[in-house]
Amino acid sequence: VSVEFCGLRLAHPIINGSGTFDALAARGAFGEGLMADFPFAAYVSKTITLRPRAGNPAPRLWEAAAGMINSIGLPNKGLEGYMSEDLPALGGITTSQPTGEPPLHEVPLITNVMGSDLGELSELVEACGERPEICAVELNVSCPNVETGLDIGADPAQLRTVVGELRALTTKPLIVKLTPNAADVPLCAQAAQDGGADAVSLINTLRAMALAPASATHPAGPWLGGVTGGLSGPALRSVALAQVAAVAERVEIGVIGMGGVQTGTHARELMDVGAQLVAVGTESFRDPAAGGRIARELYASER
Amino acid sequence: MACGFGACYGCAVGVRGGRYVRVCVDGPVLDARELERVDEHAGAPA
Repeated sequence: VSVEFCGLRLAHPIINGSGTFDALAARGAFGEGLMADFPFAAYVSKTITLRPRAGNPAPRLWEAAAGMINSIGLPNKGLEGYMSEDLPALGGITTSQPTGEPPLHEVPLITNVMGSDLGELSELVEACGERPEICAVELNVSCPNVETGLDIGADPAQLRTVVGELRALTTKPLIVKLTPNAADVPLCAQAAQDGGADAVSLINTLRAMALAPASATHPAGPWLGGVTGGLSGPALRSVALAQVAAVAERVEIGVIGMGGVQTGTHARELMDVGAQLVAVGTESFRDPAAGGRIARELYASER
Repeated sequence: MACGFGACYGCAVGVRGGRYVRVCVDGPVLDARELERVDEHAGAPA
């Protein structure tokens, strides 16, 4: 039942969405068994930036109707901390096959990176290219260009150039995490393909805002410290289905679909419209073992 | 709080020195003197 994606062999098509699962934190909470029977067929890291980031001011979360809005702000140790501390601790992760049959299957590591310009991105991609533990690189292009203010991933011309430059720096599979906050998402996917990406992943969170009501000391204002955040969860599912379908129709490269997946049926729907892999995000906050359950449900529905 | 085990960084609160700690794994009891500020809702413009 294993699947091949960008030259990687996975136990099943269910992986995690970047930033929604932390293998090292999960091991701390649930023990070593978690690393032997990992909930996902591949492990996608949180976004790694060149320099360490503390993240956004609190509050960082808001519970919305059928979802949540987050403004976490990509806290991370930076490239050096990730490479020297996290990566060595992430070796040897395995997962059960959805059939329940032995043997355990290796879990490849995909590292997600973000840079605010081509120089930063180049450094990150080159560093990932040098580490054999990293099987693929996912580019978080939902980052504003410091000059234009426009997200790199929302501007097809810029995206094509950036991916083209990075493509030349590594032989590892390059996955572009598309932003849904763009005028024409399939055109952005096309730009990623034209730049030489091996796959696209979508959808990221939708830009969203929550207001805190007026109080004795404050007028009504944005609840989140980062003012706006990203909406995720079941509220996104139908949006994801539409965007994944449109993108899969446009490009020939691999497609990782995500957005509000809670069950094997939801995963199957994204695959029916053209995704080869499906990522689970917000559902893992409700149930950290959701990935494995969804993989088993998907497998059971195929028999 | 989203994950409850240190993975999502959603429950972070600011402490002195421009750092954040996670209430779920570093708390829930924190030294009030170390907290950056405590507001009714800290997200509103101060």
